[in-house]
Amino acid sequence: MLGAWHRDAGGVANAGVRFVVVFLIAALFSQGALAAQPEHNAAAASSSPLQSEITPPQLIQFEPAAYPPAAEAAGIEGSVVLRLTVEENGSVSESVIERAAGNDFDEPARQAALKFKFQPAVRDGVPVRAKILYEYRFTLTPKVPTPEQAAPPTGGVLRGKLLIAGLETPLSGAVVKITTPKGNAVEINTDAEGNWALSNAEPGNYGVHVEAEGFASVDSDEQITAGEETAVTYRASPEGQGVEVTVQGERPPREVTRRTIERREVQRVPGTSGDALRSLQSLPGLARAPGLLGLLVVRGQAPEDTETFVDGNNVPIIYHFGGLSSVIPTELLDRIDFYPGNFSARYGRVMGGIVDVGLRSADTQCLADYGKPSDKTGCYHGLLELDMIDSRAMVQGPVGDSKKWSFVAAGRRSWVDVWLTPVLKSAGAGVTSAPVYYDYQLIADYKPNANDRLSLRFYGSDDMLRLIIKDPAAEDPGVVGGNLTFHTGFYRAQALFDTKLTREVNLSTSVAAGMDQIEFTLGQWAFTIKDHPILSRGELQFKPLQGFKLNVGLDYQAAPFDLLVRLPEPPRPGEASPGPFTTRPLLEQREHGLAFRPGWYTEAEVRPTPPLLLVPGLRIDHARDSGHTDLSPRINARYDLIGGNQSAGSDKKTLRTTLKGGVGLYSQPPQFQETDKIFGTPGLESNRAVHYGLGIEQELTQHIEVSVEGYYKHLTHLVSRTPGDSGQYLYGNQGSGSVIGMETLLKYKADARFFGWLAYTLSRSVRRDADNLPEYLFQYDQTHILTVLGSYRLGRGWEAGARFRLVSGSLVTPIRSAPELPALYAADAAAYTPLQGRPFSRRVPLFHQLDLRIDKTWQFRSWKLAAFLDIWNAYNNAAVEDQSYNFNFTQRANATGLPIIPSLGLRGEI
Amino acid sequence: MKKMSRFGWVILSALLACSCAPDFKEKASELKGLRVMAVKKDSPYVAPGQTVKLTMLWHDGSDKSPRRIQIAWIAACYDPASDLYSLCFTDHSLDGLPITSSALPLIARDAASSVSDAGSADAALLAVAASSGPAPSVAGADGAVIVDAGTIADASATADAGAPDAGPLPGSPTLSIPFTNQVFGSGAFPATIGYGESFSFRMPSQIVSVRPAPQDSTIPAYGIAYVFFALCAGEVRIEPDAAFPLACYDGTQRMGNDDFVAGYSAVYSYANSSIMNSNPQIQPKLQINDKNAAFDCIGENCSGLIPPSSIAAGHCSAANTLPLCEDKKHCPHVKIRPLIDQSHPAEEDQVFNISHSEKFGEQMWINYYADRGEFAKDLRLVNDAVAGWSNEYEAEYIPTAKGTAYLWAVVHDNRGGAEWMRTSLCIK
Repeated sequence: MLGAWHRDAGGVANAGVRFVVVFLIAALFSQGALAAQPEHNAAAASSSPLQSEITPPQLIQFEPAAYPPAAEAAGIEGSVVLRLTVEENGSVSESVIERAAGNDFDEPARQAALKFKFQPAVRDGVPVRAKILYEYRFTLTPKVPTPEQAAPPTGGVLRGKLLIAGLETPLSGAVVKITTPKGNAVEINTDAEGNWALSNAEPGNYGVHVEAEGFASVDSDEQITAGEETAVTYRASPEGQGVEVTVQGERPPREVTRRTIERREVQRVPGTSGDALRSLQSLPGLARAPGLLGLLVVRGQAPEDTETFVDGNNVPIIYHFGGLSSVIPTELLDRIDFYPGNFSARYGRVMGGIVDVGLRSADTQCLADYGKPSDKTGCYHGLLELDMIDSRAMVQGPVGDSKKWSFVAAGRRSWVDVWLTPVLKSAGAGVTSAPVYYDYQLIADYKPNANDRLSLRFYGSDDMLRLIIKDPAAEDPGVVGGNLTFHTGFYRAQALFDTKLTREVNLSTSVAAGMDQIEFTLGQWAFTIKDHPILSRGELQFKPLQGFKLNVGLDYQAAPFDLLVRLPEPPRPGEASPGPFTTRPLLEQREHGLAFRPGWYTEAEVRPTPPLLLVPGLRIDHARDSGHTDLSPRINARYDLIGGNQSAGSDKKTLRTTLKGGVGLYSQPPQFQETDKIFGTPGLESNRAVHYGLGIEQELTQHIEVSVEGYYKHLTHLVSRTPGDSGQYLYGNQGSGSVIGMETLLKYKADARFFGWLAYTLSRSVRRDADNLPEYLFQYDQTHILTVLGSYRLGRGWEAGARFRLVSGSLVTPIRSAPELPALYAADAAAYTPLQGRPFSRRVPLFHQLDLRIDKTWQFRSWKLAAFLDIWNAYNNAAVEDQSYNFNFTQRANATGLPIIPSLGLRGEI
Repeated sequence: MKKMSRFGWVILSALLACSCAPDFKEKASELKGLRVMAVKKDSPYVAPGQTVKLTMLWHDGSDKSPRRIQIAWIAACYDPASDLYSLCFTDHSLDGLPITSSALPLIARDAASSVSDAGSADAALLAVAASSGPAPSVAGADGAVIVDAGTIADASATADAGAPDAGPLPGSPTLSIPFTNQVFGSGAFPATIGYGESFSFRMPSQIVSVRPAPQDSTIPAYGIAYVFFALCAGEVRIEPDAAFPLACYDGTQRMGNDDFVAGYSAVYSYANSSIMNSNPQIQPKLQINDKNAAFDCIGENCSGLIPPSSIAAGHCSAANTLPLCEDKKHCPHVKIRPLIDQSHPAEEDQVFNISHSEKFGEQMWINYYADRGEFAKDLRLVNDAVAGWSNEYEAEYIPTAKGTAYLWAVVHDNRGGAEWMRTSLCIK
């Protein structure tokens, strides 16, 4: 327990000197800790999709610091923020001044903290080394009158004690604002013991509001009776969602670059309405998608070159209606890992990037009054959120009285239909089925011991829109009119099991089965597919030697499917306009079959010296649909030049400098329509990309890190379409291209107050459809992408954030202009078709946009209410997204993006 | 399956991409310059070896009207690669592709031109072709253009009837024109140039057999001919280096988009003679605000310039007379509805239905045009291929300008069929 320390100062008015220790923020598990605990490192470095359960260190023995005499004499108070390294035995091995207070406060605080004793941090039941931030506060206690001097009470007494939630530590220096029955305000500071009292108070109801910097405020109503003493105890929680754990550097990445967005960050990125997956687009390496479209354009690759996973098993879509919100609510996400390139052999079948999100386990931690955590577990929690797009609910807790089973159940339904249906009707559409989406998630976790864990999930999503367009589109009236159906849905039943077979061997497995369905019809056009995928992954991690670990895994995808595609032959991006589709004959493909894509991989983690990690890997993928097998060797390396494993075992904290690099081959099977016997050309091979990456990570301070990474991708065997010997356009693997770029991320890691980053990407992406054809800029090329964002907790439950983006304009294909004819009249469609210039040879003006977000949280005794206002495009910039033309392409104007959109949301939590 | 899903998703995303397009002042339904509204084939599907006649519905809404208008047709492109019309001419956006112009045997006995006095070498190419025919465009005494189309079209049809498919007709010139010929096969089909509102050419009898069978074996084997046309308030000349190789000149001045329209119509030919398509039918009945009203003409009777005698205002029936309403935001919308008889519903889509169990009708829609006033609704669905008939196909018109307004209703189907009706309104 924390103790308070008094001494006679003899100086300022009998001042008792006290200090207050405020246990603030997080346990930061360092990479150094990994080196110090190799056996734990092995467990942590597993690629388990399940997250470890972490308990931060708790102070059990406090050592007082001497109050600087000069400061005491001058009545100066201060607080020193320290970064402490707490060893597995609970001792403090390192005390670094994170934020100095001056006035001779710093060194006494630092020295005193070295004598603290903690109950060590625990991960999966095992003590581990941890780093915490610790605020050492020096305050002066007002002279307390003696009982003889004090006036006898004429009314009742309200006496209180303020503790730090979860630690049961007195919280001194807090301001207790009391509103009397007559409305008068009285302010009292808590003393070193966290005590406060209001004496001789007239009987009646009193309002109590407690404020302390860095803590959520506490509000309560108390009744005072004449001649009696009312004793209350309040517990203040650190601001935010309780103690936050940043699982940072939990294991050395097997990839050159892994960007992880923490929970605290994903909920607060402005411009995303708190949607975690939409916040991805603020990271370096991702190009901006127009409007609300959630396209993931990673390092100059097409959206279909990036795959999304939920705990290792892929899902067909991650956004509702193309980007309104993600199909898994933020509250259920434990982490988002984004690999923009040079990813591990664990992943394959794509040559762009990987997004792997992890679902969280149930929170069964009990909360006492005013949201303060307690040591008890086995409690239930609920959440209800409403915003302008959808509403969602979530409950979680233990299964019955079980200590080993827990569950999370959540659901969401949009109410887009409420406002969009009238809009569609007023536009002349007959709405057959109002636009609506919903998703649902059910998770059951079983954790019998520290080594084994089973997680069972069932989750899914459904989007539906059906209408009759009575006023066809002038651009192609024979097609874009009439019956329109859009329906997507999927569900997954997923089981994950992690176990530690022996001290050296871990096994991680996951199996998922479910259904994917996409139904899109427009008049006669149709694209419908329904499949029942069976997805399985397994990875065996074996550590036969110190400094050597072998990961062997399999990654199977099988899916019986029913397919119907009825479309005219579509052009590929960059090809000349085929004119209106109105009269073009429909091609149809109906197929019932089995898609099967097995993959195997092996990867070693070799550490010949502590600072150097080499990760060579090999992956083999087979695609039954294309009939080809791809071999993909890869190697990644990280070298801690300074700090990290370089200084493992050293008590001296150094700022880490890490060099990293990698090279690898990535193969991606052709898309369905490219290899289909009707829409494409059977026999195509996989697209190939060789990723080269080289970068450096540098910690500038304990909170600030900068990383710079250059990359180059050499693309070969790209599927493109050119005229064949017969004159017919055929697909072939004759395309090539390259992407070169640099990414910079300057990040302030989330602390109790602030998080933010500056991300800048410079890139160029080009393609060539055949050796004898000219090179052109790829459709999604964006030269400059700058994102600056930050969010700051203002106190009293307020938080404000902003995001600013500055991005090169999108590429468009220009239309011929005078004196040339800009378009031909396609008489059969009664529409003009443009005469295009070189594909993607014009860039629209620079994009810039500011998004703002304000959050306010009210903590009540048994529940919490939060409200947010998210303002998209705060200064209403008419950003150019495309170029628009009049009916005969003789006039051109800019088509602008979304205007200012405020989004208001409310959330209640118990 | 993931990739299949993404294929559909990309389609959807394109539809859902949210951007705010500006409103352009001039709408397609408002005829302010020289415009083509439709091209009608007497038979939308043509059997190999048969002759097809194309008729153009056009209007000159320019302030300079009436004036001399030249209409030229070129049927020289058969079965281009992947049926891409743009590969019929040298498309500089496709530089490097092995698509080039080729020397074509030319059938030109019926062709005629008024550009024979043009001085440029490019114009001379067309002039050569036109040297033996009558002039299609003649400036009348009052300055109005009277197009002598029937003579040319008939002559063409007669001349082509017994012509061989490959090789030039005896005495026909062989010219290099900037339209590529068929990509498939070794023999070149004859190219045909014509002038006037109507144009006929004979579909080569090998149009289907020279090309590879469709990859989708359920699609009936077909061939396609692209017929290009140019409507010019001056002289049509060849611009071989331009994106589209025809241009319109008035002397040395190149004419702009209000004075020159170029376009194309695709003519499909199926080897299976049972695959037919008829043009939509418009009944001789028109309703304006649910009252029977007078109409001027249907189909080919509406061709050419509107005769001067009907231009005089004040000859409208009560139903065709509308009060002027200049404040369009508060104007009542006039509902104009030609009768597309449901007893003649849309045909089946034979091309698709012939080999599929799922049956579809034609997709039909109607375009409305006017030379005066505005539309609130000018493009309506008539029949959905899946959902069927849509009865709400009437135009919503706003009489914002005084005088006589001419309105056209053009019904299309998605298999190349078209029909039209014209009416006149007196706005007072």
